[in-house]
Amino acid sequence: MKSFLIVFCLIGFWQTDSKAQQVRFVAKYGNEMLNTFPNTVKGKNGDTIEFSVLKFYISNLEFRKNGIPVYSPKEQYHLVDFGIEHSAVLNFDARKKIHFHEFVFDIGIDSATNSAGALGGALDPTVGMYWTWQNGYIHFKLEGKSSRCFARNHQFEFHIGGYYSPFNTLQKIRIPAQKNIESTIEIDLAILMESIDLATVHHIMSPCTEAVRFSQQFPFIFYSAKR
Amino acid sequence: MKVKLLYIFCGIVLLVAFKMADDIPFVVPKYFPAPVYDFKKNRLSSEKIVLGRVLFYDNLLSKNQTISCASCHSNYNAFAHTDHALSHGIYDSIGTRNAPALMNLAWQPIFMWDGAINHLDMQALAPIQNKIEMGEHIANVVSKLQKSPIYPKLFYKAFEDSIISGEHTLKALSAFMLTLVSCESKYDSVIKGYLAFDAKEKNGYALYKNHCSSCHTEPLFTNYRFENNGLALDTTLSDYGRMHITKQTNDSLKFKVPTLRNIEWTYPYMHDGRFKTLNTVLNHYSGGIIYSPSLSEPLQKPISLSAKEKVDLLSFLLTLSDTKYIFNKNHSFPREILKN
Repeated sequence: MKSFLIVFCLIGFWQTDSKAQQVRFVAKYGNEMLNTFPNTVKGKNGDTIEFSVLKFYISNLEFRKNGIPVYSPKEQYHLVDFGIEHSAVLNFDARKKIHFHEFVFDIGIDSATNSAGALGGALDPTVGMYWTWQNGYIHFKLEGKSSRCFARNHQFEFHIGGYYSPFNTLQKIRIPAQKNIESTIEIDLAILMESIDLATVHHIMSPCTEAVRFSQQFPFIFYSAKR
Repeated sequence: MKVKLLYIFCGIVLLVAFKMADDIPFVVPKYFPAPVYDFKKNRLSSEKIVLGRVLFYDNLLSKNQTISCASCHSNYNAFAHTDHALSHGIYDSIGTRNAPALMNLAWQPIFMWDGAINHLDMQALAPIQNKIEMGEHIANVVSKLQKSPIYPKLFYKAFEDSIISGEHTLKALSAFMLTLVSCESKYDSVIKGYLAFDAKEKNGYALYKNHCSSCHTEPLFTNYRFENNGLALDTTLSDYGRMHITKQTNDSLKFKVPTLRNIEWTYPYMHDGRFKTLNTVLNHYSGGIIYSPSLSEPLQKPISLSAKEKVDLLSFLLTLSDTKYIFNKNHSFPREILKN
């Protein structure tokens, strides 16, 4: 009986391992890896940029094959926080081996969830991604300093949220997937920073036209690692 | 094996039955609409309501432990901030608006004078984190609650989890606030057929129906919409209300229509508490309306009220006072648990 149980457990472990899917997010500035936060880089405009906070929600993730979802993780909402070790690595147990070509996910939290009242886990307001002076999750948070930034202490703060028209900033991302169980998705902050004139836009703290414009860059900053 | 399975099944049935018995039904008066709050996502239990009540009255929720929810929402005046035009918070900071009265929140779809908050659960976050109200952060509130000698036990009783979260803190506060139901005024007794209005009240009721009911709609005495009720802009505050949230110019100077229930005790009136008495409010509506492009449609035509009609209208408004509501011991400071 004992040996049967051991064999059964081993099979269980082996099966779990074989079906595990891992999605790792890696922050970059151009070709430069941003392994730790805060992290200082030489900007493309000759300025010095210090990134101190990069946090965003990944939600409604789907693994797709030929455009059809083959696996949707049960856990729908994930907070990726580059200030917390291992937070940028998402692990899933697909229960069966899956073949997929593409990831599709949202950056941020959908409108229904924004109106659903108090929620826990990654959506608990204690994680610091919920506006309190008005309702709504902050989909994407990027903070830091740049010598190009004219604000006090050269600081920039981009808190991008908004779940209702005309300031809905939820963005859908589609990325070709690598054909292995460990996939890496890169986020190129250089593209984002070059899209902004830091001399004039250094703080976005509410749902507004600037926030929508900022969020429209999201589909261009996420890449499959082998681009 | 089958017998064991049967025992397990019976055990689960008993546990489920026991848990269901713990739920407290939310009673909806027959003449009220269906609540908008989804009780399936936050079932009411006496343990949760007690926890929410203790949290509501605890100064621990503020940064310097001096302000509780009840500081601006006191039960003896229908959870309003009587006598303060603009509500004040920590370090004697003065806010920009008058704290609204709290009642019948299960029916309220949107919160704050400008509708900034879309759900009762999330409402408490606004004052907790406002720098001039409670000046705290919800994560720090949770940390303080976790270290407290009383809260881990109370949370365990309410949620079967002594690890405190923001979600559970907010849901407990909601549970208590959902019990703040005011439906036992003289008006309610008349609607139920137990009492009758006197002559003045009856005439006042007719005047109310003619002039006020399109916005202050029965039986909740508000339609929860946003209206510009013709107040002059206070240039010291420059508060444009709903426009602040929607950024739409046609929402300029619009504020949430407040309920008229318990209005006798919820003075001063309006979003900035500019009117100290109900007489001044009636004078505003019958001769003080300031025209602007977003002015409420029902106020476009001037309202004319004689002195006698004002008295009758006031008589009716006083029938909306619910004494049982403000003296309800289940809503008062939980002395048995809290010391401060």
